[in-house]
Amino acid sequence: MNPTTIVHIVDDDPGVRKSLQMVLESASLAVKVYESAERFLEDMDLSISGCIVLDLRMPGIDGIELLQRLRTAGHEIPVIVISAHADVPTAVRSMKLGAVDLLQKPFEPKALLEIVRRAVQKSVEINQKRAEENAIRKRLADLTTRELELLRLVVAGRSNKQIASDLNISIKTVANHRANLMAKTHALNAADLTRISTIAGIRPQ
Amino acid sequence: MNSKPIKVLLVEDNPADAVLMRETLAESHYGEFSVTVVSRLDTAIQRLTEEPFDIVLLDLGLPDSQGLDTLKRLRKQSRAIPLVVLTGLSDEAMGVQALQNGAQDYLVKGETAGNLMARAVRYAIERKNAEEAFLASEQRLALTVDAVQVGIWSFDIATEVITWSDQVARLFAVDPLTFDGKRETLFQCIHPDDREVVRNRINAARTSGKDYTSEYRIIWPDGSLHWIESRGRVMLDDNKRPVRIMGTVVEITQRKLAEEAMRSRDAELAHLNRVNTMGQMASGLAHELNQPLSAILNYASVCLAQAESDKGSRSTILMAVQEIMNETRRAGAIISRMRSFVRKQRPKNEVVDINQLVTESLSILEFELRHQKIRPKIKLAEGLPGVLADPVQIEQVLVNLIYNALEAMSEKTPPGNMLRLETRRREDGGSVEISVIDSGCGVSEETMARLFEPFYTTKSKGLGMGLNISRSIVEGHGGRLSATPNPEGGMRFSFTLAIAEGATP
Repeated sequence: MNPTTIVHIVDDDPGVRKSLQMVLESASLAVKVYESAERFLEDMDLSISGCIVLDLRMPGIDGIELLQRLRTAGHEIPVIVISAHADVPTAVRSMKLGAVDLLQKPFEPKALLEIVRRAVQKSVEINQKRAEENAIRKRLADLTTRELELLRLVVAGRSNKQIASDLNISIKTVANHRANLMAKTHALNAADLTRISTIAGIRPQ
Repeated sequence: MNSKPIKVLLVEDNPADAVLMRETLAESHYGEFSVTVVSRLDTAIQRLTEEPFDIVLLDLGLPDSQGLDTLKRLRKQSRAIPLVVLTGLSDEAMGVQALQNGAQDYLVKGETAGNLMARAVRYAIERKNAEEAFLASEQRLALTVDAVQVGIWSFDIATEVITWSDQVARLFAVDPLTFDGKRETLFQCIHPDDREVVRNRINAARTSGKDYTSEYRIIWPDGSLHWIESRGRVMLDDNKRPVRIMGTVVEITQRKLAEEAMRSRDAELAHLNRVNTMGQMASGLAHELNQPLSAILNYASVCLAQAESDKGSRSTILMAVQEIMNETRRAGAIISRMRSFVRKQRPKNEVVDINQLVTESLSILEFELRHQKIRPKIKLAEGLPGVLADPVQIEQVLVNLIYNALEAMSEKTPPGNMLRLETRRREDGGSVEISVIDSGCGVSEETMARLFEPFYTTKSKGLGMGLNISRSIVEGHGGRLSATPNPEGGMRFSFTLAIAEGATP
C-alpha cells in the first residue's frame, strides 16, 4: 500500500539517520532517508504530502542551501531543521526560509515527533488547499464574461435588484445568471461564493 | 745517500779496537763516517753536550764505568741519541739487556765485518728516529686523549678480549687492575635496558665491517647513571677479514641532561599547543559528540515507546539497544581520541605507519573539514616503510598543518577550496615526505620570512606557536619542515622523516 504521507530525513550522520527513521517508523510514519542533500535532490518526489527533517551541517550542499533551492523552486513542503551546532544567524536564516522549526541536537524524540506530525498535517492541508484552488480556478475559467461580471457584483454585496439596475437587465435575467453561476462554481450560497472568489483572487467590483 | 758524513762518537778505551773500528767504518760502502774517539764515559757525556753527534758506539767496560750502568748513565744524559753497544765475544746476553735498556742495537767486537757494522750504525740511527717519531705521535695522542677525556678501547674479535686505556676504566668506574678483559664483565656495567642494543650494534659492525656508534647508560657502583657515547671502527686483516674493533668512549651525561631538559621544555610547549588547538576545536568537538548523543536519545525513546505499548516489539527493542551500545562506543572513541591528543605523555620512539597517522589526523579534524565543506584529496604512497617517530607528536604536526590550511581557506568560498595530503618515498630512499597543500590565502613575503618564529601570528585567535613547535618536533625527529608557496596560490608545507632501520615496506 502506498503511504499517504512521507517524512524525508536528510542527514549525513548514519547513526542519527537510522535512529530517526526508527523513531518515526515506530510512530507509524512512512520514512525515506537520504545521506546528502545531493541525494535528496536526485531522488525527491514531493507529490505526496509530508515533511523534511533536514540536518544543517553536511558536506557538499548543506541544509540551508537545500532549503533555499526548494523554496526557489516553489516547493512549500514543511521543513524541520535539526542541527548539532546551531548558531543564531543560521537559525534566523533557516526560519526566514520558512523552516517550521529548528531543533538542537540532541533533542527530545517526542518533541520532534510532535513537530513532524504537525508538519505532516500542515502539508496535507496545504496540498488540499492547493487542490481546491486548482479545482476552483478550473471552474471559474468556464464562466462567461457576463457571469464573471455578475460574480464581482454579488461578491461586492449587491442585491439582485441592484445588479439588474447596474447592468441594465431584468431581475429575471439576473436570477438566471446567478443560478448558472452557483451551479458552475459549486457554491452552496452567497457566502461560499465569496470564499471561492477570494481563493480565486477575484476582487469585488 | 746522505752526502754529509755521519758523525760517530766512539767510546772505547782500547786504542787497538778503536783504530780497527774507525778503519772498518771508513772502508764501508754505507756512506762517509766522521769518527771521534773518547776513552772515558764522562768525556763522552761532556762531548755530547758540546757538539751534535748522529750516533754513539759505546763499549760498556770503561775506566770510569762498567756494564749496563755505562749505558744507563749515558742514556740519562742524552735520551734521544741513537746508541749501539759494543760487547765482547762472551757477552751476547749483555747485548740483549742493552736493547731492553734503550740501545738500538749491539755489535760483538771482532765478529763484525766492515759493511755489516756500517749498516748497523745506519739502521740504529733510522730506528731511533722512527722511535722518536712514534713517541712524539704517542705523546700528541695522549695529550689529545687526556684533553678531551676520551677513553680508548680495542676489542679482539678472535679472542673476544677487550683492552682499554685508563680513561675507559675511569668512565666505567672499574678498577683497571682487576678488569679481566672479558666482554661480559664490561656489559655488567651497562644499564640492563641498553645491553641488547649495544650487543646488536657491535655484532652488526662485526658482520658488516661498518663503523659502530652507540649511546648507552652505565651504572656506577654508587648507583649513579652515566651516559656514554661509544664509537668504533672495524680493523681488517690482509684478507679483509675483521680482526678487531678499535674505538673511543666519551661521557655525554651533561649533553644528555641538556637534551632531556630541552625535550621536556619542547614537550611542555607542544602540549600547550595541543590543548590550544583542541580549545579552538571545542565547538566542533561538541558537534561531533552531539551526533551519537542524539542517536542514543532516539533509540532509547523507541525502546521506551515499545516497552510501554501492548503491541511492543521485542526485536525492535533489541535492535535499538544494540544501536545504543554502538553509538555509545562511538562517543567514547571520539572522547578518547581527543584525550589522547591532549594528554601529557613521555615522548615515544616507535616504528609508525605514516599513512595511518595522516588518516587519524584527518579524523581528529573531521568536523572542521565538514564545517568548511572540504573533502581532502588524499594521495598516500603504497607500501611505504615505517618511520621511527613519536606518533602523538607527528600527529600534532599534521593537525597543526591541516588546521592552518583550513584556516587559510576559511575566507574563501567553498567550491574553489582544495586541500591535498600526500605521502611519498623520497628519491634518497632513506626518508618519506609528507605534504599538506592548500589553495588558501597564502602568506605575504614578510610573513614568509617569519613563518617559523615563535609567537609570530597573523591570526587573532592563534598563539603563533603551531609552526614553531611543528618545526622543532620534525627536527627533533631528524627531519625537515619546509614551506613553499604554490604557483597556483596557497601554500605547501612538507616535512621529512627517516625510514626506520630494517623497516619492511
